[in-house]
Amino acid sequence: MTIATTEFIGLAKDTALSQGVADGCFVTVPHPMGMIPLAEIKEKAEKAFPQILKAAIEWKPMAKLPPQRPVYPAGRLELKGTVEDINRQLYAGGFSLGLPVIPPTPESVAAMLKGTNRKPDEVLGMVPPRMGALTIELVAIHAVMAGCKPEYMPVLIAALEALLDPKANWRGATTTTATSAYLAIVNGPIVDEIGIASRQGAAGSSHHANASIGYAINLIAEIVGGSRPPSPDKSTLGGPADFVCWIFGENEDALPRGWEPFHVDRGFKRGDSVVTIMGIYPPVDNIDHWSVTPEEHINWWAHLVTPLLSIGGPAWITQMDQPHIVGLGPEHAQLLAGAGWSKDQFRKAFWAKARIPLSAWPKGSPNKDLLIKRFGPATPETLIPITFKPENFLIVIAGGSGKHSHFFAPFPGCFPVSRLVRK
Amino acid sequence: MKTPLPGTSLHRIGWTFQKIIEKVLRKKEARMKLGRNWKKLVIFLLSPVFLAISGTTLAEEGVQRWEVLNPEGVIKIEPMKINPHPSTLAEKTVLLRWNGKHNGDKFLERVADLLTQKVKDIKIIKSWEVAPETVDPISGSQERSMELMKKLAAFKPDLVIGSQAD
Repeated sequence: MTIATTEFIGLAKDTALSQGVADGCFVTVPHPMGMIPLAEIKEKAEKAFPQILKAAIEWKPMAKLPPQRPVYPAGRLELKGTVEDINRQLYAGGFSLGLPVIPPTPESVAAMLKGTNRKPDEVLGMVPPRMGALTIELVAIHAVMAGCKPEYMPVLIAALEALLDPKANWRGATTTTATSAYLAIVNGPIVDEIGIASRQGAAGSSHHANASIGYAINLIAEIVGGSRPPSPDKSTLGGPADFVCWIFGENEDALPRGWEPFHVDRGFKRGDSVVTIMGIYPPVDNIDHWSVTPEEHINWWAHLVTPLLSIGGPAWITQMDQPHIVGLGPEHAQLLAGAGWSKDQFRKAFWAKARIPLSAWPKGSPNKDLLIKRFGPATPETLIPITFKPENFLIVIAGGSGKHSHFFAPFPGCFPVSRLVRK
Repeated sequence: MKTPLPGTSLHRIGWTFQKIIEKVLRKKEARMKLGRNWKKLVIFLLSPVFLAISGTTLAEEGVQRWEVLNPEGVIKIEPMKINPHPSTLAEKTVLLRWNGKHNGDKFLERVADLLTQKVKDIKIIKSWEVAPETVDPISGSQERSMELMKKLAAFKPDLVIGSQAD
């Protein structure tokens, strides 16, 4: 039996359905349960108790799963009107995010499929939470809608294969109340081959490949995956990365001497083309114009990014096991490398310095006991790091000139997943 | 020479005089062109008709029938069977599962009190007491969910009541 509030019962039911449970046993209580005094939560339990008791012994499954249709080929829609009319109709039907799309005609989709050697009926997986079957044909449909060029298809497919890996936690990051989104980092020769931006303002506007691939990823998440607000996407506020996900190429040209590219750190060869994705919170910009030594620069990091900011331990201790991505700006990387620092030295120094005392942990944090156990014997003065180990800081050279670096904290349960780009 | 200020009488007189001269010059020029290019005049007169025709064609092209591929995709779900609930809770084991969200444990604590009061010989297990590592609000993946479920299933409950909050 699942107990959820009026605001979240829809998400609970959708989640159960996507796991194959057509009709679970649910009890709804008035929203909210969190952040109310003890007396109020007890009263809610007392009011709900007769319903809980009844459901405990009387509930029986009634509904059946909806009938299943073949996943290929895609159905066809007959529409009439101008391009503007078609866009309005697609939006009204739940087939766009509100931004304009290019109508996916059979001809344009066929042309898009020429960008890959994969068969159109190949199923990459089921996109949560709706569990829409994602075929290569469906990827091409969304690539057309987002304005991709056919040569972008291999990168888009690799990103989707990564997202479909359970370690990517596509369901969690697209249905949460948090302002989470996905970050895609592209490495290797494909970056220059198709024009993925990797230098000045790489994750921003005016880069066709980044923008259209990032847009296609989110179209698929919301339309095939069905994660749209107000439910099952429960974003409290949401953000622009719900339209176009974070995506940039690593600036491999700006790698300091002796530093390997991000994908090589992750076990790939330098000549491989690789896409790495991770579910993230909005990044934090480390604006350090002033440091002239690595030690001074580490101080900026340590005071900017703490366990509380990255929300690691305070809320969910499991997040402290997850990698965090440090997008070092080329100038900050050069400051470190110029003084002879390796990536590993940076990781260890940052990890050692960016800590807060256990006494700073918020009241009500459910994992405080586990933290004490993990770092014990712990006193209120015990300094707690952002992650359990320095290796959890993954370093990528991000962007162009300027005194900015970015810290991407992971959304709970989201691990980085890398996939080779196959043409 | 000083230019009169806009809005003054002198400025208005000057502006009117300038417009009359321009009009006379345009008429004279038109008469000369008409004499030389009468064919151009015919085309000029007929041009609204051509424009109207071409405009209609363009409008018809804008409003057209479209065949587009459905971007939604087909739902593919493997059915999962849920065990039936017991017909009574007396002498049964009920596991209360808290996912770590605020007050979920307090809610379930009160449910536990009431169950103990109302149901004879009921056994209550609180997940956060017997398996604190399962206090995980965002399990993240089916693998992790399965791992948590197995840990809780090891207590062999007859019924699991979970609080999802928020």
